[in-house]
Amino acid sequence: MNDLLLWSLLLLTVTTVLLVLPFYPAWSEWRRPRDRQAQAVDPPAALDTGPRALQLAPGACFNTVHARHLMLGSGAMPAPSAQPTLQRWQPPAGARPWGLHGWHIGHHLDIPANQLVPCSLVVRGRLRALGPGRIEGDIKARDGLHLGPGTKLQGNLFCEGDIWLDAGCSVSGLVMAEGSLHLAPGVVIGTPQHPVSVCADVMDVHGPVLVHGSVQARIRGSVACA
Amino acid sequence: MLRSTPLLAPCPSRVFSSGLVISTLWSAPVLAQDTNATQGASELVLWLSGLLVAVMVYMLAYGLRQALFAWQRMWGRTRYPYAGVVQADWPQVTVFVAAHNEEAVIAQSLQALVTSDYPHERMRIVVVNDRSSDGTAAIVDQWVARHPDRVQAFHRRGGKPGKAAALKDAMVQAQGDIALVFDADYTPAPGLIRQLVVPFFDPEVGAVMGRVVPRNAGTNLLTRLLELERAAGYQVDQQARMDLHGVPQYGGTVGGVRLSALRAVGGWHDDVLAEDTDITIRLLVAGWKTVYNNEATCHEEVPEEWPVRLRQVQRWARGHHQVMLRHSLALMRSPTVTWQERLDGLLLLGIFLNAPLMLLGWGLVLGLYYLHGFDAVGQWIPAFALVLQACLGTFAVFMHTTFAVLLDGHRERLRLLPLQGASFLASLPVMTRALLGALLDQITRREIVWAKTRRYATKVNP
Repeated sequence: MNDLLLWSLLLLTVTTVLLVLPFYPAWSEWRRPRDRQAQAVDPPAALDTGPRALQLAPGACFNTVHARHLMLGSGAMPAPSAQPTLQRWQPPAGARPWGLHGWHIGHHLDIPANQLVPCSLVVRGRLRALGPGRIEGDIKARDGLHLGPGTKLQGNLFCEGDIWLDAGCSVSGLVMAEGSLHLAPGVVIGTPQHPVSVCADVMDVHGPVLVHGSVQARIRGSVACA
Repeated sequence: MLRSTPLLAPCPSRVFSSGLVISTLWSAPVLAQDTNATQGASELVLWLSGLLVAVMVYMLAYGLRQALFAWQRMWGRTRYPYAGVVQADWPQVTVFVAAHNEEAVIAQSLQALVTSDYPHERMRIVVVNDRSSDGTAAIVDQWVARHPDRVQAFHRRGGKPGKAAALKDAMVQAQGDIALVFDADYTPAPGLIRQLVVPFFDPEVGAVMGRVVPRNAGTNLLTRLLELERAAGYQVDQQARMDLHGVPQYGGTVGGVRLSALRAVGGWHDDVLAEDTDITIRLLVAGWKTVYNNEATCHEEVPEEWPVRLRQVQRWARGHHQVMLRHSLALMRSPTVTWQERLDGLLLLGIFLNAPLMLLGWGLVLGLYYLHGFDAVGQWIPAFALVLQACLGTFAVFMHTTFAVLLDGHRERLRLLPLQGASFLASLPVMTRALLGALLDQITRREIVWAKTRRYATKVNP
């Protein structure tokens, strides 16, 4: 009888200890807190516009650079070519109105040369503008974005994949690629009055390229040797 | 405000749930053979077993989701492509501060907003003073007098109660296409407005959400547990959805919406309790994206008393269920939504179903036991015990919390983790009641009553 009682008490004790033991650290932290301060809110980095002018020579590697007038590569910028007569672009079948003045296209989109696109475009696929031409709005493409030679974009450029900007392209707004960004000679991004940011995972610059603002290559940026 | 879902949305781990599902499937025929008493009882047992399997499959889906999110945050790549944007032609923005009897906190919120580094001439602050009966109006008017070119008052003396209704009325004051919304107890850091505006340069983005951290985390045990829950909800849950191209949720505060997108989907609905979830899903159905920025952090107050906390959970859960009942079908049918977004959106809408379904599962097992399914139930008991253990011990939600706290660099706080079970158990009946309430709301079409969360005017210790 005594044995049974003792075994029962032992079992009860072991069970209770096993149940309560995991709560000991919690109890101890509750009664004597080691870390009870509110989580610090880190302020974002202060705005840094960098020096007035800066040039990265061919062969240079970079991650983040700021300057009002940032020349990537060497040599003279090609003179802007004369803008040809442009035809007003018409949205393809199936496109639907988007935002204040834009179109949403649910598939790949090719814009022929010599077109004036007077609106923003959100493309759920790949976008290719043959160029030359002019786009008066923002562009977002999901699978890849290619602006042909001499294309002028008066807005921001976003892509979840890679972006190619061919020779003589200009973008007045932000450029952001989640993949890689390839810049050909003569590309101009931003304006002296409105500096902008250019960011991508990998940035591959074939200079000379002019950026007004900042460039950030999250993984690697490089200026190709001439 | 964002529902911090992990603690409220428990899921058994995959292994244990799978065990129970297999056990249930295996034992269903046994049950049918064993209950010789009546054919009707046998059929009932079969139906209940099937229902239990369905519940467990549902829980398993959430278990997998939680595990995937935790895995992604620990070992996957963090996605926030807008991080490098520091220079731009900043657009006009209107910051709405929703206030209802906020005399304790409104001044510090406005103080924080007027010291923002966003270009002053492009930022307008509108205080939406919604039927306050305390000194809020007087304080707001003093701020308007001090900063007439930057702060505006929108005194709302009547109309439908609730934040959504107040915001809907106040939107006439908006300037520009971007509206940011803060609650009156939030104290944004100087660069926060810029951080929240950046994603709106992307023409596909309809809403943006930042991260909320409790200012009064150290007040008592409840606030410390809520701090853990918030960390899991934002650091792991929201960011993982952003990383995986899912559906980050606009949380109603420390965030904003594109007004043209909002108008395109029908504006604020003033008959909902969770206007933030409602907007998130309606924007998603129309093809707009919501972006989460884990670096755009802002302090808030969390409830310091259990009754206040439980009322808050009940409001969130009920509002969430309401949105689920309204928009699930539209989300399923939307042609502009990707399959990841559809799946994630549906799981997001169903997150508060976990608690009632878990209770249902427990009830089903007990019911089957008393229906003399002894042989089969005998096989279930070990599996059920394991699920219980998994629920209270190795929940994926605890994994979420653990990883979130580690990512935040607060290892010591993990010692409180076992006590989260208490918070979960307290929330179980509340969330179940919220589901019943939402169903009744839907059936009877009765008016929703807004309940304000109490403020404590806590300051952060330096």
